Amino acid sequence: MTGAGRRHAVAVILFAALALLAAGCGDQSTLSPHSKASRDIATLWWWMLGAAGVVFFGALFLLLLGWTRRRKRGLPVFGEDEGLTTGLVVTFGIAVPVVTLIALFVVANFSVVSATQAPKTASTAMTIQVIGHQWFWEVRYPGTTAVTANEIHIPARTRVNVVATTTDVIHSLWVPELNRKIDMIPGHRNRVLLYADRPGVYRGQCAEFCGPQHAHMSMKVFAQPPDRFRAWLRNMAAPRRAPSSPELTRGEQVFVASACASCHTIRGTSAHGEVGPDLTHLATRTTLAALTIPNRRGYLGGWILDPQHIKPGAKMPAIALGGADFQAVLDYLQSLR
Amino acid sequence: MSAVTRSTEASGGAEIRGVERNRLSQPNGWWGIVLLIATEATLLLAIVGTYYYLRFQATQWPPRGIAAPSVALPLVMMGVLLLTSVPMQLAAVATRAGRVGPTRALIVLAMLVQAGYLAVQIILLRNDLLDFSPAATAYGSIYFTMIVAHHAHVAIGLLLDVGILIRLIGGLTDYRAVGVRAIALYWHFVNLMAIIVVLTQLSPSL
Amino acid sequence: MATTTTTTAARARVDRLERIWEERPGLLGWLTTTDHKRIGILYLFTSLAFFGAGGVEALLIRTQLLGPDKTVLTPQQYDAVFTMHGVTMIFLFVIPISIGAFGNYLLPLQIGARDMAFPRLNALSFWMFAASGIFIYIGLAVGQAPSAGWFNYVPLASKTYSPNLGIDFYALGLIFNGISSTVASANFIVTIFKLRAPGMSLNRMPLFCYAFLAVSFALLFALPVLSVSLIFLELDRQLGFHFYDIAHGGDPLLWQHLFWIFGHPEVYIIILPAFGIATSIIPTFVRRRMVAFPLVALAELLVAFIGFGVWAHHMFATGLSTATTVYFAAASLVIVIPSGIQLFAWIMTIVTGTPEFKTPLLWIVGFIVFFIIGGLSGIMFAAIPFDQQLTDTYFVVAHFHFVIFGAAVFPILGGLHYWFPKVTGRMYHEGLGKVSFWLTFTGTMVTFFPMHILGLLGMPRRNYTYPRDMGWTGFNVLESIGSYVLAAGLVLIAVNLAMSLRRGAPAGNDPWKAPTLEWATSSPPPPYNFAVIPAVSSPYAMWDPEDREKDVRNLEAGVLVLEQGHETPTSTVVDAEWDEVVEMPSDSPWPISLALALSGMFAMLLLAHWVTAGVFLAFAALVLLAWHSKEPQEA
Repeated sequence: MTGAGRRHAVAVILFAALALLAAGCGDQSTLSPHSKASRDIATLWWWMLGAAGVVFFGALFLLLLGWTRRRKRGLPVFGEDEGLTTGLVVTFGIAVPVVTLIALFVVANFSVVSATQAPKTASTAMTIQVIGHQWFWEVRYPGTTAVTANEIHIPARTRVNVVATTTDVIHSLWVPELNRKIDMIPGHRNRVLLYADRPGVYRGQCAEFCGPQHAHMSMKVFAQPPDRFRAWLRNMAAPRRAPSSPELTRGEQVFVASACASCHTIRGTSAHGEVGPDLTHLATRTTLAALTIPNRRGYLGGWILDPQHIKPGAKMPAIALGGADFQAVLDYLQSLR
Repeated sequence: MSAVTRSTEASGGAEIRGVERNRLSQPNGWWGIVLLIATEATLLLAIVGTYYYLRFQATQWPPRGIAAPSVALPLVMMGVLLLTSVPMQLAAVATRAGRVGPTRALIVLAMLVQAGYLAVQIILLRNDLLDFSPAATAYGSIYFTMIVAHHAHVAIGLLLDVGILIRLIGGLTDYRAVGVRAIALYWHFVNLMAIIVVLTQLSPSL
Repeated sequence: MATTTTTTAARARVDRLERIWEERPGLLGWLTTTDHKRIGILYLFTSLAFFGAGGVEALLIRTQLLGPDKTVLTPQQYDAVFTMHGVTMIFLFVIPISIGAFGNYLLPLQIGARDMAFPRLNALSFWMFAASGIFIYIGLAVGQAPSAGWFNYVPLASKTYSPNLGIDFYALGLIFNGISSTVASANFIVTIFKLRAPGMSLNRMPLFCYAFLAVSFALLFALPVLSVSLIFLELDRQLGFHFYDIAHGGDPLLWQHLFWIFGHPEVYIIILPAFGIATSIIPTFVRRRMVAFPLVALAELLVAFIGFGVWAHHMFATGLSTATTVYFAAASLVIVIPSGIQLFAWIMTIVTGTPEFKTPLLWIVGFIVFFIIGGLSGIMFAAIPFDQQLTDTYFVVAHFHFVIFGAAVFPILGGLHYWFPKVTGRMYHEGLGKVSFWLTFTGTMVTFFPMHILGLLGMPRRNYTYPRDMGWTGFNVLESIGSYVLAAGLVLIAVNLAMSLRRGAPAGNDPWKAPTLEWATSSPPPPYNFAVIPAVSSPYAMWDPEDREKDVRNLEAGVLVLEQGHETPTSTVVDAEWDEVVEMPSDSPWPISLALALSGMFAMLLLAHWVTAGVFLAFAALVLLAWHSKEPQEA
């Protein structure tokens, strides 16, 4: 059994090293926390890993002992006394676990858990609403008319109360660097805390299987300095930027008259569709289709003409637009800052 | 070891009495029915549990537009059904004594009452269906599902009655005696569940 | 015992038993058999076929994830494949192979009985299981596979979001499957309670049987809850009821509660038989009795019991109240204790014994290692905030594959080797056995261990693809390579066993000098199992030579031979005092007929042909009537 033993020791050490390494890279890692909540959970993990390592190597040591003494009965020194072996089972199987588990229970479920909980209703400076759709995130800022999608802006160093709901199936809101996840369940208003230590962009993803495009239901949290956040919110709450040229006006007319308007809203126009994301300030966003593709002209055009190629199963149908109309709509959408 | 008893071959009063006297523990068939009851009880309790789960989530129960169930007739019917446990148990006792005549008569008596109960229940269910639909609200869904699940158990009991009565035409054997006892036990379970289901069904009016 | 028969009197008795218990030959014999061993073999091959299917699905998943943005499968195909993988491995492989194959074949042998308590019900269980599996796979074959995951959350599984018949195949198939398992578990409980050889009081019963007793009780109480949740789902989908529909007073969380009230005991149902196999193999190869026998027996029963009180730890991220989550976290920690007892009992037994690391024991050591890893990561999920962070990521996938594949399937594979000589009469190839173990062990480690890291790096489960720049690619590639190694290991096992079937060295009755009664009879055992109902005075019956000598004397004297018919003795529940002799049924056409009638009914329910479904149900009732036309017999 030494073979198995050594292999495991190597694997576990490798694992620890890799995990440490990984903590630095990747932007959706639970191990690169950027808030107290996430940090407490990560710390809890490292402690649990340590304790688990002790148990694992302890057990491995015993199995190894079994292998080295495979021709000798009983234990070294203690022999084969039935009462003693039973006593050891009771010690390692009952006594030690009880003590460790009580410690884990208290630390994890009373101390750490309080750091991750949603702010009390009255205590919070700010509440935002995130609504899951197949397959994008709608973001609303109660008290304002601001609506956006897939890019959640919050002020840094502010405890934000997030109300998580859904319009269709169950989704789960999860930004691991900032906090644990919370499910979005029809008929339930769940809440979670979002807090970022410092300005930055934190990636998140739907964590409850929600249909064929579950894999492409991601979002980003932009934590901004409070004044920049306020400026962003002011812009977001405003209706769309009125077309400033005949070409853009034509783009708006095509958009409103086409199938686009039956699913999308552009505030300030007669497009009031509620199936897809609000596009009032589409050009301010960095990505399209819930982080599937960058928000650049070529991708945007490709998305409009053939969304099923990029995101098979998505609710968006291919929109057939003539060459000139198509360019006008692209110009128009790119002007929606 | 020489006193090996071959119980299943016993037939006729004296032999069955002898088997029953010598037997130290419940026979396999009895255990089988106990386990069937255990699993069926879990099934019914999960349904009843769902009733209360949905009820405690609801702001109004039954929902607006659905009258609270009327109490008198279902309670009387429940009482009548409970009484059938008496002849069923007596039938089980009679088999232990190897007496086939009383066994048959008692089962027929119980079966008539049980069939009547099911008939009246089905009429009540039809009336309820005219008032509200299981496809309109969760209340309707759980209400009808729970009651139909109960009815299904009564119906299965009736089939068991018929089955054992057919077997008893050919007289009593120990195999059939165990069968009667198992079926009596099943009816006690159905009746116990009737109390739980009917009281749950009527709970908005109680 | 056949080989130890010496006198002509004994020989005559054995011949008479052979005549009485002779099985119908050919295909018809297999279709109508009620012999627990043949039913066990039917279970074995059927569940192995499903294992193959589930394995191919696993490889498809791993191939799709071999790199970012791959298109081996479309998203819809991927969803169907991972759903079928889960459903297959849990309901059509692990449970039927452990309970149906190992339990059926071995349990009556270990308690010294001649069959299960209800042999025809036993056949019915098998045919219903086979039919339910085929039923679910027909869904895949006609392109209507379920694709909402094995726990099938509503409203994704509702008619609105899953309009094709996939979910109906799943729901009806699992209700059908559940009836099969319920019948089987009742059969096991009565068999264990009543059919133990006189003298085998509960404290002399092997630990393997304790595990099966615990599993059977867990199944008996868990399955009805699954059935209820599935019936509600079908009523919602087919008749427009509103159990799970929030708009009309239902609640999607109701599904989650019902499903996990079943689903968590299910985890212990999956693993307890593996514990039972481990407690059979360890004493044999370390040449000593299990340490802390009563504690282990108690722990096996406790695990099954406490398993019913922990379901909501699957729902920590659903926004349950803090008090609720804390209760369920505490209960989830409590269940660690009985698992810890068993773990250290196995380890201490190995340490204090003189272990001979033959293939079966290697699998058990592999199982212990994986069970520790899966158990430790499981404990971490009782830390609510950690659970809320890592649930629904690859960390969970890692956790339950260590538990289900590492800890449940490894003992099954070990058991295949351990009991191969008993079932076939031949030895497998030891060298190949060891190679296949190390290949599978390495493959398992490489496939599933990096999943922990992926989860920590934020990769959610059930994603059909992943972006290039997340730092996930390397681990995914490693896992996919591991899965091919793992598959190679499994294929090697199949090759080894298949070749040994013909070429293996003859095994004799008891090649391992094992402690339990299945080794008392010939390999393979005769249809009546034992010529003499064996004498038992400890859980290690074969290590009590006086008892075995007594069996030989009994056969010569004609004591406890029961040569007047298809008979087995029953005994009292606790002390196993001799009670009576019951006549067992022999082959019967009714179990398979009933299963066919019920298949017809479920198919019609699927197609919403209610009247035709009723006709099939009536058929089923007629079959039952015919079933009971023969007596005196046990069911």
